[in-house]
Amino acid sequence: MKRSGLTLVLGMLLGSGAMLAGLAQAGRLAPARPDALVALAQQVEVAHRRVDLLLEQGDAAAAIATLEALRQQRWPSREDGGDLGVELRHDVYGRLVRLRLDFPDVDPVPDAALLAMLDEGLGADARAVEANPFTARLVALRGEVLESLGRDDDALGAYEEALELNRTLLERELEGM
Amino acid sequence: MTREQQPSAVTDPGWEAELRAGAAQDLGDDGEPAHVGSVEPELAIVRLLLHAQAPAELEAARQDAIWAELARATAKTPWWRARWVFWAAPALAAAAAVLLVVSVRIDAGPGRDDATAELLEQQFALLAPAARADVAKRVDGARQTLRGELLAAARGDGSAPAGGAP
Repeated sequence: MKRSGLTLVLGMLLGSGAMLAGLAQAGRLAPARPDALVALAQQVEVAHRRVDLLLEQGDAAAAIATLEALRQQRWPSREDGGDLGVELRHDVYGRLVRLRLDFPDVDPVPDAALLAMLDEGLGADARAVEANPFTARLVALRGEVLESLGRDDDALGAYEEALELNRTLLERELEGM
Repeated sequence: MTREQQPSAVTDPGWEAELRAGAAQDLGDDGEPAHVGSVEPELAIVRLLLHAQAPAELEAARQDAIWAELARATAKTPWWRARWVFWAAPALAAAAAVLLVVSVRIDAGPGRDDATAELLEQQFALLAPAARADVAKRVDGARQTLRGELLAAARGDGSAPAGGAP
């Protein structure tokens, strides 16, 4: 009798632990290929540092070229790289488009091409991933480009979507404090 | 001062008051106004004299009024009191208000969106450091998973018999 009670308590503890772990990972797809994700993360980190350095030197063209080269690589799918792979892609595309908007005279690209680039970066799985600042920024940049194209209603929709994502993130940050 | 020393003019309005005061002193012991009626003819003469004098004064006042009216009529009207101002001013004010509203809306459109884009960039700058730390943490987790898989594969290659798995 005593032994069965102990077993019950242990089972409850294990169950609650599994539930908490599940909640912590809720909405986050684990990568099927962690090797692809780790390699991608290293590439992105190196590219960010290189871009930081180039911008400090005032070489915006080289910074843009660095991110363009990274953009041309084969990105892992959401199944292979998980949600984190998508977030890394959004991070790179976001910084690339930000630089292109900030330095329009460097290797000029039409707004329509920028919009296509943003849609390429967002992909079909942008709304499936959990709210994160990189996706929110990419959506906000899409709003800026749409505004430049004179599509004010679409721009407003993009801004509202980005603000909603950030509101969720800020609330989460405040809850965690 | 007595009336003999400085006689009052009959046209002086105070003269009537003095006359009535003197008549009041002439009241009898029983209070009956026995002699009050005796001053009425004198008062009638005084009123006649006043009436004879009044037209000249009235004529002067009338002339003043006429000259004032002429001055008003012949004076140049300021522009802000012109007749056209009464209907043009509201129309101009309405047009100015419309222009102001339209210009404010034109300015507010892009300005508001610029502000939104700027706000979103500020929010990103605020959220990005924690997000990057979270990314690094999750990549470490993936790296540990990968290490575990590689170790397991290495053990499987070295110890497990070949063809163990179907």
